[in-house]
Amino acid sequence: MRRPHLLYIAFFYPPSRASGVYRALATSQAFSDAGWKVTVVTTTQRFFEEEIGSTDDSLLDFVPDGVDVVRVPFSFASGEVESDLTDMGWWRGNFPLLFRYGRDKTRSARSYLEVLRGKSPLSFPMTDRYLSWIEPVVKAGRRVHAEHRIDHVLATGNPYSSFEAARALGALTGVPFSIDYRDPWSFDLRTGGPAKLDQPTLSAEARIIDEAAAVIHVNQPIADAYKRQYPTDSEKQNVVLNGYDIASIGPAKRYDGGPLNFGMLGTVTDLWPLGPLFEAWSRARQSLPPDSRLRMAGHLGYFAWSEEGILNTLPDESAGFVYEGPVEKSDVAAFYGSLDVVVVPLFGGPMVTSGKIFESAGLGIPVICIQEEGGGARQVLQDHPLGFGAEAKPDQIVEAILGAAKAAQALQPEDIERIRQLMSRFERTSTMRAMVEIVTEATPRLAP
Amino acid sequence: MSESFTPLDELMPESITSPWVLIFGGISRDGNRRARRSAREAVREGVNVLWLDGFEERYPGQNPVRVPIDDLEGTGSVTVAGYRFQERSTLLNRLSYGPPKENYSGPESDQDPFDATNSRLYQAFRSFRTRLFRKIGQAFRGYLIWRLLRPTILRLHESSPHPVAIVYCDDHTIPSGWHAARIWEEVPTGMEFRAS
Repeated sequence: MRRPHLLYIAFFYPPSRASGVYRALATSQAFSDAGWKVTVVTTTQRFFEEEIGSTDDSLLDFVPDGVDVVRVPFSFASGEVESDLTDMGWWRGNFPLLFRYGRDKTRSARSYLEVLRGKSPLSFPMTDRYLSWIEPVVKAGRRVHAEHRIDHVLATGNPYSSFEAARALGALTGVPFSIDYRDPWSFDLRTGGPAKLDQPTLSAEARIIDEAAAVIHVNQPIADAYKRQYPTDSEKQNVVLNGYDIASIGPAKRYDGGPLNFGMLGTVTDLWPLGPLFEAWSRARQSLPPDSRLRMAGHLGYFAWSEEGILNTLPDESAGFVYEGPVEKSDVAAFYGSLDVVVVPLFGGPMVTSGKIFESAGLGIPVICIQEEGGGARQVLQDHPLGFGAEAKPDQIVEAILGAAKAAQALQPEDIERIRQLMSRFERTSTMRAMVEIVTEATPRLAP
Repeated sequence: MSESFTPLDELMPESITSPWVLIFGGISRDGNRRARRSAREAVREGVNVLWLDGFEERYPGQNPVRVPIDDLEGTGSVTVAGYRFQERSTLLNRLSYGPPKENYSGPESDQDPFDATNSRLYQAFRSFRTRLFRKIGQAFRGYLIWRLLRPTILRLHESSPHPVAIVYCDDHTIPSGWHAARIWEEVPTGMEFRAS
């Protein structure tokens, strides 16, 4: 029997270092491991490097062998470049006013044509900054389908234009498609209430969900919200947790009685409750062993231009704080292995879990999760024997820091092993297996 | 810094020394502003400027070719070669506006060479003629300017070093810039001169 072929639409894929890349990598790895032929449709390195300045070339090494990557260009820039004479043709170069006159006179006709050809935002009745990516993706997908028949299209969002691309591709080729929500589209991640979307966009989501074979979410609260919103499609809603990469978990540090190392890793954003954390740290460190440090590693912001603003808010080393800069994926285990306590500062409520919380839970050492009561990440830590939750309030964080410090000082290697065993259900190969099962069931050729 | 003015037909291509930038100064007010900015920037960088100027605006008591550039600082020189009178002499313009006045006496004259007669009949005829030919003239003006400048550009190409940049300043100078860009293929083109 022919190997099943998955077309995976993932706008953020290496060398992008966006937070969604890890789930995309894990998804392609899981399908590849399960025997699927995987073709990933993503955008160009030029976009990641030049337009958003958000790349980590080391991630390219983690693209699974045998996975084909098709890069479809995208740019936020629009309009025609008019200043370069060498780009102009003979007619325009010699008679620019006649050229412009002709262009203006045929503008409406060309606009209609662009709508029909899917090259206009009006071609897709929804609001998204990535709409112009849809048509080229559909074209690339059809080309792939013509060369090697696709059995299933899976799209991950955001950007949610990927979902519309999957829907259009499914409609044109007759191939079933599924969508994987890394974040909810029509719900506000922080409040859990409805997001501010216009009616056409809400209709677009409803249409996509109606036609999708399966809908996948990163946690149960989001899936429940979608079940309530789309009761007729409630059976399609599934949960595939983010999980952690086993490669990120190395040998744990053994506490030797000296200073304690608290640390956090991830892309730092202004949504992190860093103010209360730093205030709590300055108060709590008086009660910690001398020279204890709070270490932070990771990129500052998702984009190159957000770095300086965040850097200015960080305390200096006299406060017992160290910013260590970005850490390549291959060095993540070493960073975690040098910590006694891991800190996960987060925002939002039940819908926010983040991938970092699974990684932190899998380490087996004490974890402090700073998020509101009932937050998604704190729920992940419910079964963690050394999980310390705190709201973004200095008093609660101080309490968590001192509790975690005490636990770290008393921690034995067998405790770490026991906790790792307990948390192994969050290991990525386990969680992603569910993704493969869902898609396999939704693929008529493979369904039992 | 030095600044000199010359009619197009008296321009000596051999006098252009490297490094130099070729500016097609345009005939609109915006084009003229853009050309001035580019000339200032080039002079500041020590680049000589050859500015082929067809700007329309008239200055009382001045030949239109003699448009002074303010605030020139730097070591480059500016040579402005005006082609407005020659352009008026082209066939289409003669049809549109009538022949240039016979008594036009060169750069020192303060007379308006395009002053119309006061005759009503002549004004009506001129109005009709202008309506008839003006749109055609506008549509093809850029190309006609290029035909006018072509011998000069070819002479420059033969006898001068390559310019460091070709600047075109408005839509009417696109044809000149487009052809010049094909003559000097390696030379960068743009709407403004920017120091690298």
